[in-house]
Order: sequence, then structure tokens, then C-alpha cells
Amino acid sequence: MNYKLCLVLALAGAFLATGCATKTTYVDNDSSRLIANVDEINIQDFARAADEMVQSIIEDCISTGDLEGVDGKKPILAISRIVNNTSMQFDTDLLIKRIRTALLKTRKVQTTTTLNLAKSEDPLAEMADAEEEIITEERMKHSYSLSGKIIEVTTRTKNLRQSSYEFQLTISNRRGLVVWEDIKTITKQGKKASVGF
Amino acid sequence: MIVTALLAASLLSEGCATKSMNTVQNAQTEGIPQMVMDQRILTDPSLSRSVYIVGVNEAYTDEGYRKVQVQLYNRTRRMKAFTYRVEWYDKDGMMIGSPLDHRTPTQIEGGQRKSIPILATSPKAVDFRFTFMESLKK
Repeated sequence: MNYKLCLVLALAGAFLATGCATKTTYVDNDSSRLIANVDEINIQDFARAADEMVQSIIEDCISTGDLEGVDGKKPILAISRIVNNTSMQFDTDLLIKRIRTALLKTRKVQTTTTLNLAKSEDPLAEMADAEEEIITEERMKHSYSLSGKIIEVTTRTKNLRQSSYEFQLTISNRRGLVVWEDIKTITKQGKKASVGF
Repeated sequence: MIVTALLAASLLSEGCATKSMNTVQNAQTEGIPQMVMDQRILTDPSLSRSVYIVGVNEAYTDEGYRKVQVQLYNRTRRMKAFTYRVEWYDKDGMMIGSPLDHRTPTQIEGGQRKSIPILATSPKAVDFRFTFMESLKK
């Protein structure tokens, strides 16, 4: 009898434990309980790189009034090529969209969905812009463009891996002169993915 | 014999973990930091020994963006890994959310003085709150 009871309790305990282990929970984006991988750029890394880049742009360009638009208008910042030179495939908008959103919120810079190197982000806006161009005979011109590269450097010892992700961004004017440039590096060490950092 | 080996191993590992930092700087500093009166809520005494808050100073950019710098000092001889986050609040005390919100992981070596400068990404930011937490990854 005792043996059976123990077996039932053990099985119930195992089920409960399994239940707990597979439970999905929501985690705040700014939590330190997010998953961190050595060989990947995690979502918190994109947010950190974007935050540091935005602080640098505000400090070096926006708060100094160095970014100037045409005829006293706000400067228009277009997004140029952002090269992913890492071993991973990811959408570079994970970085760029954060930067664009934060810069737009400063109300000192105008960003655009139609002046892109690749296809337009908003085809309807592009059509309307083309119509406007015919009517006014004036083409919208960007004042500055943002380009960049993300590079990965990995190294390892016998039982430890290290990955460095370097975010390089540049803002150039229409003549290609660099008005702002910065580099942010995020380095991670470990053996395998972990919850929390 | 085993006890001796264990003690030796323990001392070796301790030796590796307790390398602390020596520092030199100009004695007559030219920059005059504008210190901020701060209010602290300490719930982790162990962390506050390793990540001791020396003070907070501030500056403003020409366009009125607030910049604050937290000066930390590790009073122990051990490296401490921790994360920090800054929250910004507007003049009405409302938190300014951003897609850039995140916790930053960092370390401070034993005996090290470390400064963390943060610039508000909104001109509306008037108040700030820093939170520090010991790293979850040991």
C-alpha cells in the first residue's frame, strides 16, 4: 500500500514539475530575465546598441544644431545601406527602426518612408509623393543619410566562447561628408544560452 | 592530504577572483561636477557594497537634454557583474517610455571607480531613476 502511494506521489510530483518547466511566461522587454545567447544578437542587444547610438547622435549632432535642413526646414534623414556582416540572418530594422523612432521623437529630425535605398517602405506614400512631384515640379530631397555595418568577431578557448558584435553607423550629408559616426561593441562570453544576464 | 589539496585549490580560485584595480588620476581635477541631491532605496546590501553609489552629477546640452552620470565604486576586492537601467520622467512625473528601453549588463572590478553617463533621449525628461541589480548569471 505504502509502495503504491509513494509511486502515485512520485508520478504526481513529476507531472507537476514537468508542468512548471514547460510553462510559458511573459517577460518585460527591459527585464534581465531574457534569454541571452553567446552566438546571437538578442533583442536586448539591439535595444542597447540603438539606445547608445541615439544618445551619441543627440549629443554630437542634434543638441549642437549641426543637422540643418533646407530653407530652415527640419533636416530629412534617409536610411541608406545597413550591411549585416555577421553569420546570422536578421532584419536590420531591429536596430534601425528603434533609432529612427527615437530620432523622430526628438522633433529635430524628419525621417522618411519613401526615400530608401531599397524599395519604398510605404508604396502609397511613394505614389502620392510622385504625384506631388509632378504638380509642384519639386522633388523631395534628403539632407542626410544613415548607413552602417554590423560585424561579428568570434573567438574561443577550450570551453568558453566569446562573440563581439560591432555596430558601426555613419550619418553623411549629400556630398558624402561624414557629419557623425560612432561604433558600439557588445561582447558576450559563455558556453550556451541562458535565461538571465 | 585531501584537505590540503582542497585548501590550495580554494586559495588559487580566491586569488583569481580577488584581483582588484589600482587607479591614478590628476590630483587637481579641472572639471567641476555639478552634484545632484539623490535619494536611495537599498534592498540588496551585498550589491551596495560592491556597487557603492558615490554620487550623481548632471549637465545639460545646449538644446536642453539632461545628462546624468552615476559614479560607482566597488569597495570589495571582487569583480561584480550587475545590470542597470535608467527611467526618465517628464515634468508631470509620468514615465517616458521608449523602444530603446533595456537593462544594460556590466561589471565593476574590485577597487574600481566607474562612471555611467546617460543622456536623456527626450527633451521632456526632467527626472530620472537608476536601478541596479546583481547579475542573474553567476
